[in-house]
Amino acid sequence: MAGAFPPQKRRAGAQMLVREHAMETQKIIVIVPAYEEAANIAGVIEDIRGNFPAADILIVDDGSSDGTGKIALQHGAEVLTIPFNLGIGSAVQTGYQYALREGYDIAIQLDGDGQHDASFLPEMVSPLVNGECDLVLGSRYLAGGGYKGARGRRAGTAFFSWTLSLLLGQKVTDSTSGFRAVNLEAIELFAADYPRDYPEVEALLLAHVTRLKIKEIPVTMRERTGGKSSINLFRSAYYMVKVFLALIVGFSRRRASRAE
Amino acid sequence: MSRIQYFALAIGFLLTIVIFQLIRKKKLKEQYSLLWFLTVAVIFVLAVWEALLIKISDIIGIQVPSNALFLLALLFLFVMAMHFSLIVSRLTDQSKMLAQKLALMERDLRRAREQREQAG
Ligand SMILES: Nc1nc2c(ncn2[C@@H]2O[C@H](COP(=O)(O)OP(=O)(O)OP(=O)(O)O)[C@@H](O)[C@H]2O)c(=O)[nH]1
Ligand SMILES: [Mg+2]
Repeated sequence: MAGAFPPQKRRAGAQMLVREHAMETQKIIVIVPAYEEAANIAGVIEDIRGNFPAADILIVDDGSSDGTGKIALQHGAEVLTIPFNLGIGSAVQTGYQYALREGYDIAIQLDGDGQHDASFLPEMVSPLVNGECDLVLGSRYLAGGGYKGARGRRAGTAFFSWTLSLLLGQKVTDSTSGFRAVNLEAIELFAADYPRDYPEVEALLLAHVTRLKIKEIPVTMRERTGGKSSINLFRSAYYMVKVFLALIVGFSRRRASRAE
Repeated sequence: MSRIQYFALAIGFLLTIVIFQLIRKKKLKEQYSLLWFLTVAVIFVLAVWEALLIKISDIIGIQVPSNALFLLALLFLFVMAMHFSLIVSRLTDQSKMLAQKLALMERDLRRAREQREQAG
């Protein structure tokens, strides 16, 4: 049988086997931040289960009033109910704390609005399993097609990606993507320290400062089908200022840690 | 003493009583009352010792002493606001940690209940 394949292919096949085996032995959790996502959460859970049955699913219901958490429980997901709205960053951090406590090796972050396509989960995890990096970032700008975000949002993301690329000395195209997968080292870091709101860009800088390796892979995203986006004009302005400040502070910390 | 000095003294006394009452009724924590008592002390000192305000104005180069008073009051309010920002930041952090702990423990409780139901 094996002789039927040219040697190169065979080696690739063997590697694949090793990889699949490694994936089976890893404990993997998908952390889903959800705020008022009653319309979407069931679909998200089914999407994950259908595409990546090996992973456990944790919905972090951040003080929703529309029964998001209850629906998630009914669909058999693990649920953390935060008593009042903490903001996406702190909600995700609670997820990391849970992952650390329950002994997970890999944690994936996937939005509760159904925009992140769970069929990319195996691809997100495999660089971690192979030890290529500590954090995998799903970028919608590396892939052709799919939802690219509202125009204003795109401009803001481009600006942050450019600034972040400079600070990291590595090209980042989708710095505000909430679709990411991390290994145990990063789980430990994020469980202890994670920005409270609009955390995406800052968390990447935090990972970099802590000397974690980041890798971007192409993913396609979907348009929202239900519920409503938490991003509006005023919030975007706050987002810009907050993240910009965080970048400056983070950069000065990096300088300080280098000088040590 | 001029009329304004009497007025300042009266304000100082009034504030002292109010702060003292608030602490007695446990509406104000002692640790946060210190700054307020400091304010009252400054009001008393400046009310009684008029020359001090003039001296201070001279030093910072302000011609009208009352303007120096305004500046001092403004600076004081600034320090107060900063002080409260620090406290609010700390409280926010603490309430965040509490909410996170609660969410994790609530899930443990739910699981323990489920396990007990299955066993019994
Ligand atoms: N835990 C928590 N999650 C939140 C909060 N606000 C938004 N989310 C979740 O964060 C995810 C992304 O939120 P969106 O509002 O879609 O923001 P976005 O995806 O960056 O922006 P769009 O391109 O407009 O979709 C969703 O899963 C939301 O449920 C919050 O306050 N707390
Ligand atoms: Mg979204």
